[in-house]
Amino acid sequence: MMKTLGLKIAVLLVLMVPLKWTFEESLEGRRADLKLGGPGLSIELRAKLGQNLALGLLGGFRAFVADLVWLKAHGCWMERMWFQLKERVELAVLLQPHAISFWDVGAWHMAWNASYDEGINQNYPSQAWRLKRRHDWVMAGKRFLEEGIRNNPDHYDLYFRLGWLIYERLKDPMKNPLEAAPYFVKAASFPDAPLYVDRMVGRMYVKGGKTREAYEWWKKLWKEDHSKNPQQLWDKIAQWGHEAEEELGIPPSERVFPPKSKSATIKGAK
Amino acid sequence: MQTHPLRIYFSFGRLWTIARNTMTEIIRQKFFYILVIFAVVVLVSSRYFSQFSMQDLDQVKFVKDFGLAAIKIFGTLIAIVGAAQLLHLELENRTIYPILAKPVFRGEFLLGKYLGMIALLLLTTLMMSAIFGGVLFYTEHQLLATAGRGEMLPVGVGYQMATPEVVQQIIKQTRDPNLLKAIALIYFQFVIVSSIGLLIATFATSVIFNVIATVMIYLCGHLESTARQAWLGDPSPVTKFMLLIITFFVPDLSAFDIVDSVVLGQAVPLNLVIRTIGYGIFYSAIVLGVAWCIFQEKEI
Repeated sequence: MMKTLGLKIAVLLVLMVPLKWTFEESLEGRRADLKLGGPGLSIELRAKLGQNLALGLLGGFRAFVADLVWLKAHGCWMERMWFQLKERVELAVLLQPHAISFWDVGAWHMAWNASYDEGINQNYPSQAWRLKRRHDWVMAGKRFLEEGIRNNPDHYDLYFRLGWLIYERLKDPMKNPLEAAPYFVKAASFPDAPLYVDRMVGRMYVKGGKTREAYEWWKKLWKEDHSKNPQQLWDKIAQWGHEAEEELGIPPSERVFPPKSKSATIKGAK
Repeated sequence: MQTHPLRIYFSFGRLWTIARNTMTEIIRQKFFYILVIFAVVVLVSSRYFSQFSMQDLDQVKFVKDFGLAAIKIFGTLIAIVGAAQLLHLELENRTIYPILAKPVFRGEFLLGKYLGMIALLLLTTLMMSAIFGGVLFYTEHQLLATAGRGEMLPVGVGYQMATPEVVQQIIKQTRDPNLLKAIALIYFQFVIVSSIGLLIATFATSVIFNVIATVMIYLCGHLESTARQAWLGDPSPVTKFMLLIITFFVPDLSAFDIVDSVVLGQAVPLNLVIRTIGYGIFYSAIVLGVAWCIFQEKEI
């Protein structure tokens, strides 16, 4: 009787294994093509996560574990524990490399919050130390964003954030608009980029003294469909465009932008 | 005069009766109520955790991550504990004897038990999904109310006016039909886990052993693809043998994990979901086949 049972089970398993293998290989190949999932559980990741979170990851709760790590990072921010924060933010993006907000907010913590706090940290022996630490954190944020862009090249958000970081933080307090402009241009090239991203390109040109480039940019924007964005945003573009026309001495007959008082009444201009 | 033995054919009616009774039995157990109550509490509290995020769309991400994780955790627990008790309780209460004394195939009995279990899991999944949908709807409602009041919404690490695009994005995230694909695959994980639990129940003598063994296989299942890659490499003979066992017999449960991708807005084609479900059904059918072989020969 036992012999028959063993034979039946063996037949079932012999039938199963090749089919199972084929099924799994095919599914895994398709998942790899679509870049689904994240990195597997390595010894390094296990050490960073700790026992409980590693068990969570083993149980197939990657997103949940990443969120818990993110909550811990949030706590570090509240406590101003910057190195722990960096560690946790890096762990969160290791678990979910396609979570744009983790890259975005993580870089903001480093380049803005940590760098500011280190810049006023009186525990350092001198101002030179403070400035050095401040710069180091800004650079850490920049590197973090660049890594984020390498992982997610098809999202405007990270290009925008990098441009903003270069403009506002890299040579702080000296602003750095022309080096930042290409990143805003890249961010604006994505169809889902909101209007404020486009506006930022023009503002960078203006702040960098490139009024002609800014004017061309405003003109390009002005041709777009106005109904998709609130009128206030277009009013602002009209104002900046008009200022550029004044500065460049554009003849009244060639001007595109209405004076401020009129622009407020324009609706649906193409 | 020659007498013909009475022939009994497979009956869906009997199958249905056993499945229905199995559902009723599990629903009447305390562990089921406790797990369902915990699931509801965790699902509703996911809204609280979302407040730690700094972005409006991140709040939606947190709600989705926590909600789907809660569905998976509690569904898996119900599947493991429920399946472990399926045969054990019948034997302990001696209710199996009068059933099998009647014209009921052992295969029918086993399949009926299994169908009752997965039907209950389907109901539980639907119930938890409905609560999850409610929490998502509430989150959307709150975010849109903020936008409606003309307040700025947190986008990125700054604030942005609630343009139609932002509002559309919120609605797109909260009413994402891909969430149904993620929930469907979570459910088919339960289906596989239940079949494994039932298989172990056919030869295990204690519920605890059954639960622990199923949990171990569940954890190994999430490492199966890693084990397969390692097996194809060049490990030592002992390691290769261990990996072979995992690779050949343990299901690849990581194939069912699309929650990350769905929540982050990655495209998950329907044909991949259907193929994965097909894999789940195939694996469960084989496991049930083995369970049936063992149960058929079991001395009761």
